[in-house]
Amino acid sequence: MTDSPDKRLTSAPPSGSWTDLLYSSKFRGWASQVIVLLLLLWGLYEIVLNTQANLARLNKNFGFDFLGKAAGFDLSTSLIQYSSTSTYGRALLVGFWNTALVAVLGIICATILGFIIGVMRLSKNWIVSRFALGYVELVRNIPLLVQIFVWYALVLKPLPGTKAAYTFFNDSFFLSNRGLLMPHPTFGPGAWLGLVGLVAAIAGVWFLRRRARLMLEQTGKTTATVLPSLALVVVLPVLGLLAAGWPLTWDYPELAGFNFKGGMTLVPEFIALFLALVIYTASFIAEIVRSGILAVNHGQTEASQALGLDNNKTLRLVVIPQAMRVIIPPLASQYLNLTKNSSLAVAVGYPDLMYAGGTVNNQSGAAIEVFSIVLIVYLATSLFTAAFMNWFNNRMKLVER
Amino acid sequence: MVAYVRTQDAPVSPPPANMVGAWAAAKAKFFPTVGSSVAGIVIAAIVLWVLWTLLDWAILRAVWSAPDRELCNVEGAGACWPYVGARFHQFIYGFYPMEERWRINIVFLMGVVSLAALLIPSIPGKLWSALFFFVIYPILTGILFVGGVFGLTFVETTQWGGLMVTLVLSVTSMVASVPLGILLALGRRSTMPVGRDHPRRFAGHPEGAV
Repeated sequence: MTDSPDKRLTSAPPSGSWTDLLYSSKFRGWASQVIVLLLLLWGLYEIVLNTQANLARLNKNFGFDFLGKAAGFDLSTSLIQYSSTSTYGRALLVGFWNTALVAVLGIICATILGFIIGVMRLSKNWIVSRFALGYVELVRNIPLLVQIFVWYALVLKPLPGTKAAYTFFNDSFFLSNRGLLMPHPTFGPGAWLGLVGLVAAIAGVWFLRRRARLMLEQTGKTTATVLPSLALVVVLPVLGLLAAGWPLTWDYPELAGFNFKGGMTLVPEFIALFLALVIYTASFIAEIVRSGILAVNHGQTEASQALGLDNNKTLRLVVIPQAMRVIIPPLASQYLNLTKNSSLAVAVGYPDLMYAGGTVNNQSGAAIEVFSIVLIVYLATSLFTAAFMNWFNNRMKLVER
Repeated sequence: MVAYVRTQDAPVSPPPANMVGAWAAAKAKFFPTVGSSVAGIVIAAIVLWVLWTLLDWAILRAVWSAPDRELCNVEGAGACWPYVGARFHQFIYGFYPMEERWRINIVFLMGVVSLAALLIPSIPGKLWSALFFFVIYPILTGILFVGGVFGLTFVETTQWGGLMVTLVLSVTSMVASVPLGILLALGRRSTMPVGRDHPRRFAGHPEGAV
């Protein structure tokens, strides 16, 4: 504000005429801000007034006490305890966890698939690179909603009923039109020792990597960290569980009548939504990855080869770290998009936050309250993702001196 | 003259036999490394299988003409094209009244012609084309679609549908979102607090994200 380029204008010799005021950038700035602010406040005021009038007309009260009432409807899948006697608030919570499940799994898988397709697009092999091109152009030019319906039809149609379900691994996995059933791990008393093992393993991995980095900085010698880390993560929790007398048992799904009992289920709605989100978002991530790799100057590759680094090390130590700086910001956008797009779950009836919110609204009639909760939760999720990716970006970006 | 310096270039050796010819070119294009060759063959097999399945469903096993829907319910029948044929107009016009559909056709035709006039460089009169497309055409479209004036019957928006609505919505929102986006972008660059912070909340994306 202090070094405005329009200083000449503001400090023009005063001549006393009111047109001078109109031409002063200071006055214009203030005036336009006041107008924008007034318009905003007026709009807000109208919204509040209109809402109040409508609520009074419909004889409704604004309030959140409906959250404690019994919901009275079932949701097809839930990560937490839920039945039709649970509360509306609980139903919304179920929706939130279902959204979180599909968003987190979707983000992980879309990133992996996107990186694979993006690298394939740059392959020297004509078949591979053309396939990646075809994939990207086909997938990102078809609306996501259409893809969700296609996957739902493709997933659900050819699958047999429960009696004729496909089974894998000695009857522990079932695939039918009820979805994919898997064994469910149940932990008995003393299982916390396994958790202790896992925490110790993570601490050990952190320590190993730190020591390897210090070693590299001091002596220039590299030490293997990947295999020892993997060994730690597997061995320590297993040791913990063994020490507790192996309290881990598996709950296998079983065919009982026309349905399954036990195990855990991935419902077809989840599978369809998950596949569509992953495949759709991966096509955008692939283009981001390709642009990131192409953004690294070829001179960097040549320089690292001149220093005697092999192809693998050139890629790992020179190209990818620089490409990541280009990749991360648009990648963050894609993560936000995937999370927001997961609300299309309503189309196939996967009980995500939007679906649960819609049902709660239908049953309780508290439209404003329900959708303000839904809105705030999505907003908070997005802002949290954005904040995390900003932090990650700041860690990865080039340190400028 | 120094006797031991060559006065002529040494003859250029031919490239190694395995680096020239159609076979070498094909090998470099389709099978450059072992890993990518395997990946390429697997991918080609999958793509061919998918294409064959699609072809089989859409053409070979498809039902092309059926007096009623029973023919499509035959065991092993593929795509049911008579259904698409019967519903085709609904895909395009939705529930727009049958006798008023010429209005949509005219709008579509005008759009194609004026867009061609705008986009093909050799056609003269760009200024007039632009004036027509950006000012007159939207007004004409509104009049023709909605009706209620000049003796045109009024058509409610609840009767609109199909591809027509897709095009109307996408074109209108594209045109409307550009000025709004420019305004928000300028607002975000502004040094004035009210205009700057508001779009920021509106956009809510991390710096540098697209």
